Amino acid sequence: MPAASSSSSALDQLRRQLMASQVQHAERTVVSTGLRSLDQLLPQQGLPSGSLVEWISDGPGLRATTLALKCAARFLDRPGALAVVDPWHEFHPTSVGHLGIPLSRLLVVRPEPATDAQQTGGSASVSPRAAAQQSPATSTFRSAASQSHNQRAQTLWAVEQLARCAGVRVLLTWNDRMSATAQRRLQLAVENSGVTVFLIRSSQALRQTSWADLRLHVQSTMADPNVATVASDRKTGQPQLSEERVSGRSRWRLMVRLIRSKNAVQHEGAALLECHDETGDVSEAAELAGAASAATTAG
Amino acid sequence: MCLRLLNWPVQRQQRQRLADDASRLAIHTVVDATASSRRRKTTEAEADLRFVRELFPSAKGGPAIVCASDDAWAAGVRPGMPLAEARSMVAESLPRPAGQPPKPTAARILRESAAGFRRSQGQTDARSASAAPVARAVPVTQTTFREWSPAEDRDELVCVAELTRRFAPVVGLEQTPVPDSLLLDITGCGPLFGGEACLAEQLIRRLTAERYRCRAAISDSVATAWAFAHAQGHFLQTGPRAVAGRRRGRSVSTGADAEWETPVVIIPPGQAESWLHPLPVAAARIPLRDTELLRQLGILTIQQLLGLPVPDLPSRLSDQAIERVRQLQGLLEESIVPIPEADPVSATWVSEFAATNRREVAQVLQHLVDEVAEQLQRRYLGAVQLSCQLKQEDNTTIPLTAETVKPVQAADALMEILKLRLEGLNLPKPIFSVTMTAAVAPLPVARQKDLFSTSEHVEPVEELTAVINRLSNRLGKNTVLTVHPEDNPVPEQSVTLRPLVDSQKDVSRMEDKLHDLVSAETATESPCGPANRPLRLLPVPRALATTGQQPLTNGFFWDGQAQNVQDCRGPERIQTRWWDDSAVHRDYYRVRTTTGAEFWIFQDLTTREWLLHGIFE
Repeated sequence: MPAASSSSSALDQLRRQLMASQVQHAERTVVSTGLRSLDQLLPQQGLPSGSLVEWISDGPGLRATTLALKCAARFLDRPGALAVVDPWHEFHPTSVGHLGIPLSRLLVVRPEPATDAQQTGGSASVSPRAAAQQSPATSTFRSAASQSHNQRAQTLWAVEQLARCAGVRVLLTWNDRMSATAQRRLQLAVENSGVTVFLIRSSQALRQTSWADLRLHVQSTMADPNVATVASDRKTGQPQLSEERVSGRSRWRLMVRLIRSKNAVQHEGAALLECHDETGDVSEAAELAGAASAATTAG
Repeated sequence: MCLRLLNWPVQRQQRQRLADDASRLAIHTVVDATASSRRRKTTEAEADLRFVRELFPSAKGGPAIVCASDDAWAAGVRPGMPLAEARSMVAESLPRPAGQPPKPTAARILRESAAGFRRSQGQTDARSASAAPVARAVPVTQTTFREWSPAEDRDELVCVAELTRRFAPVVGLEQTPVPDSLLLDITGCGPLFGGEACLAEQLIRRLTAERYRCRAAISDSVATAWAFAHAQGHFLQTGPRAVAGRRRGRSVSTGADAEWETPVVIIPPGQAESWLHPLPVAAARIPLRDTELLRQLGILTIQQLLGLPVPDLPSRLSDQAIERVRQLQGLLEESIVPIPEADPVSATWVSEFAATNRREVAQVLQHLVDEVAEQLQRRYLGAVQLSCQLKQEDNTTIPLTAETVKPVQAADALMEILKLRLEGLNLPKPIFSVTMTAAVAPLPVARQKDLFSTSEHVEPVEELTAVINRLSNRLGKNTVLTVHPEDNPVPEQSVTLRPLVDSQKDVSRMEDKLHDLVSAETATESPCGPANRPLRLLPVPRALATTGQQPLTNGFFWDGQAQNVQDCRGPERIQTRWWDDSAVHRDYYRVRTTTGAEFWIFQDLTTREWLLHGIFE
């Protein structure tokens, strides 16, 4: 009996040690993006919390950040801040409120490169903004070369610190050069903390290894101008011609493709979205809305 | 809180029994310039003297009375009076043998002849009208005249500050010439004493036990608290008469019928401005020159002052006066400059064996942090800043400072942020001694975290606080920012990003900010500012290299590539007041290129130049 009891206590101890050594994953929930076509594209019909999501944009000005922020707003119904790590000091949050994000929930971190003064306890530093002004010959704003190694390291450190913090609900940052090791560390951090990290990257990142749970490719596409689209009026529900067609403005759409999800599962299909000219809000494309309403009517 | 020590220069000398008969005391400016040059002089003391000379022009030509005790005042001694005149007046009021006429002093002859001339002209002399009857009614036997020492007055005020440490984490000296008040930041301290009224009463009782006569005013800001403590203006402008009624009021005054002379005046939060209205302009702490100008314009009360059109103020008042007005209105924050503690929370390490590398220095710091944390625990305080001086072998010191968002007592948390600062520190030579000093504040009230859970549960606010501590200390406190919308149409000024960790160390405000950041209750906050602005805004608009004269039709170069414009929307005209130096006159266009990218460009209507300002990311 004593031998049996000692072995059971040893087993209990081992069990406790094993449990303690296991990473306690935060509770994971799936949050709808608020865009039906995008939800349908995603494996879990939404974005999982505690995940790393890459938004790959084909170029500047394609509203990838707008789309990411609109999705981030859906996460803020639970406690936690929206942290934005802005290494370029160019993030302008004026219109963020119109995407559903309260400004009081926004925490902006702008790492600055360490200088000699900072090394000795001072606070003087040269921001990328100032550096850009000092070297106007540099044509590319967000070229990796214009960011010092030190600043890249500081930015990455800040991202990792915030990704580990359960007081942050969503973290959004821009980073084109992130090693696989750094991504893996980030992935482990978010799994543990439950923070959702949105990484906005250029199409150069498509050639790099990814540890992201989801990799979404945002492209712009022009709809066929000859196709007359009908969308239902927001207030009256009556069908009407698309505003763009009426105004004669070309009809550009955002096409979001899911390139990769966790465990390297390949996906087909794309979500077609459009950006409202006046509000800047991203919504379902008019064709899709029209088709959906038609389908509902037929049903 | 503004804690005013009544008639301070007189009170100080009376307490120290510098005068033989302390009840009848008058303080005057220096008599012997050579003797005064031997006295300790400070920049502040010189500023005090300048203020007195500005206030009392008679002090420019020779020694003059600065302030007087109640009894000396009753004898006719007034601030601003030349010392010779004050002496002669006191001599007149001395009891004389029966039948002996008063000694005809030169001052008296001059005064009486002047008074006679004014009477003949139908004028009255306010000073003689007020002073002479009092002088006759209260015969005074002897008045002592003492030389004024502003530097010693200030030193003694600092000593009084030590007595108030128990009541407020931050105690500072008022930043006006000839100070007579201490400023105490009692934010969040009231509940510890049963309310702010109890706190103030206990403080007054404590100081009264030390034979200090004082009065306190509690309000939302430094400016308003000072105004209520000095309801008649600076004490040199009013004299002891203004405080004579203090005994008749209630001990604490909080209602609308408050008497300014009661020992404690508490203004309910948010009501300071309406309570300020009846006070004279002098209570606004504005420079004498501005007070005089306002008096000439017929503006005598703060209500009239605050009613002046804001754009007109710069052309009439000095910058300092405008700053004071904005502080009164609550538009400009005023911080209390803290007086360093006499017995600070500190620890020192000295050794003949130097710490030669970063690891050894970290060990030394760990040792000191443990010691500091123990002191903090003993005093029920938390550290908001740790300042270390690392002394090298050549006696040069390297400063190392770490700050926390909220008061912290735990050694582990303090060491963590200190290590982050140490990582970025250049240590060229061995370190022989380290001195660590903590700036302290009361610990925030502990909140129950989880009622039923047996496991340790950490709130999001606590987690966020810890990470902000780390970020602020490693990257600098100006890198962690919160967003504040501004009512400004100029895009680059429509929001400001302010450091979350401010220098004022207002613990309760910081708690509110952190709570707002994580609180899901703010999810329904209504948006402000214009919609559809680019999320990427260049800090400085860039001149566009165009392929033709007109970028809207011919396209432009960006990122080294030609951007062909497919369509554009606009213009949206943004312009500010033309009379401003930095007036803005711009026509903005949202331009979409053939690749689908959307840019925000504008034409400067003044220079006709085309510039790129933002990208719709």
